[in-house]
Amino acid sequence: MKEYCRTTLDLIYLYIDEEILSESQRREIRVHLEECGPCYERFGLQRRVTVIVSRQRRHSSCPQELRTRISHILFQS
Amino acid sequence: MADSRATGLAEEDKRRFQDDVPPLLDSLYGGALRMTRNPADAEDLVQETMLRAYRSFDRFEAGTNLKAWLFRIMTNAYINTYRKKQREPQKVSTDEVEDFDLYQELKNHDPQFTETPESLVLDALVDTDILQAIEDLPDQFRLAVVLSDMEGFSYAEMAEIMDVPMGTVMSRLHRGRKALQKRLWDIAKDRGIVKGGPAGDGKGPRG
Repeated sequence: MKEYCRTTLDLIYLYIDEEILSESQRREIRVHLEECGPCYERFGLQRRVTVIVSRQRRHSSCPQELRTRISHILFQS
Repeated sequence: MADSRATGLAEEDKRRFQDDVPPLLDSLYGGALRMTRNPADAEDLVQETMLRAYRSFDRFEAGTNLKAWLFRIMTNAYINTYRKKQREPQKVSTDEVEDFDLYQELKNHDPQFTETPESLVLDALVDTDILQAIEDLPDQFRLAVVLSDMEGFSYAEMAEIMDVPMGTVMSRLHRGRKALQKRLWDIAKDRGIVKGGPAGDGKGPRG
């Protein structure tokens, strides 16, 4: 694996999460992803998995009965 | 009357709580469900969190992140109360996680894939598979993945919520995501989406 690929992949989560990296680091990664097929595929896969996980939020609405109970305990006693 | 005196909460705080907190209950319940892994405990945890939050709401600094504040209370409540009685799942060994590489597994499985690796496996997995994979993660990894990828908290917010340094957040999140990918791969094998043989046997399904 080339040095550039290793550096890019080490930082790929920070890139996906938009955390910590400086603007110049982000630019270097972006340029490398445009040039390197395998790194771009890995990036796409990692990002895809985080998107799939984030979609699971739709399965988590608070039951109405619990809302009512909480409101009753806190505000109506 | 007696109640509001007992909590010591000023009318203004009480009104603010009533306005601002209920819209976050879906997030909190979702987080609780992922932490406790069962609806009854999740309800108890959310209720406990609401009681604690209400009691100390005068200490919440207006204008700061209310959702992060509530998740911090809930995480503490979970660690102190519920985690003790929960069994750790052993479906994901944390030792073998570091070496797992979903990309490589997909490549080995089907060397043809180039532009849409996800279409091979990820699209075939349904939501219950994904939720199962999340549930199977060890506690601290699961928490990191849920806070980041489901609830959208930043690393700094997660460090606050989990009460650990940012480096610990990053390592738990990194390993949690790896463990999740390994679990997804195993589930895909269990479900027959991919062939169950040893990884990397070089036999693509399409011949």
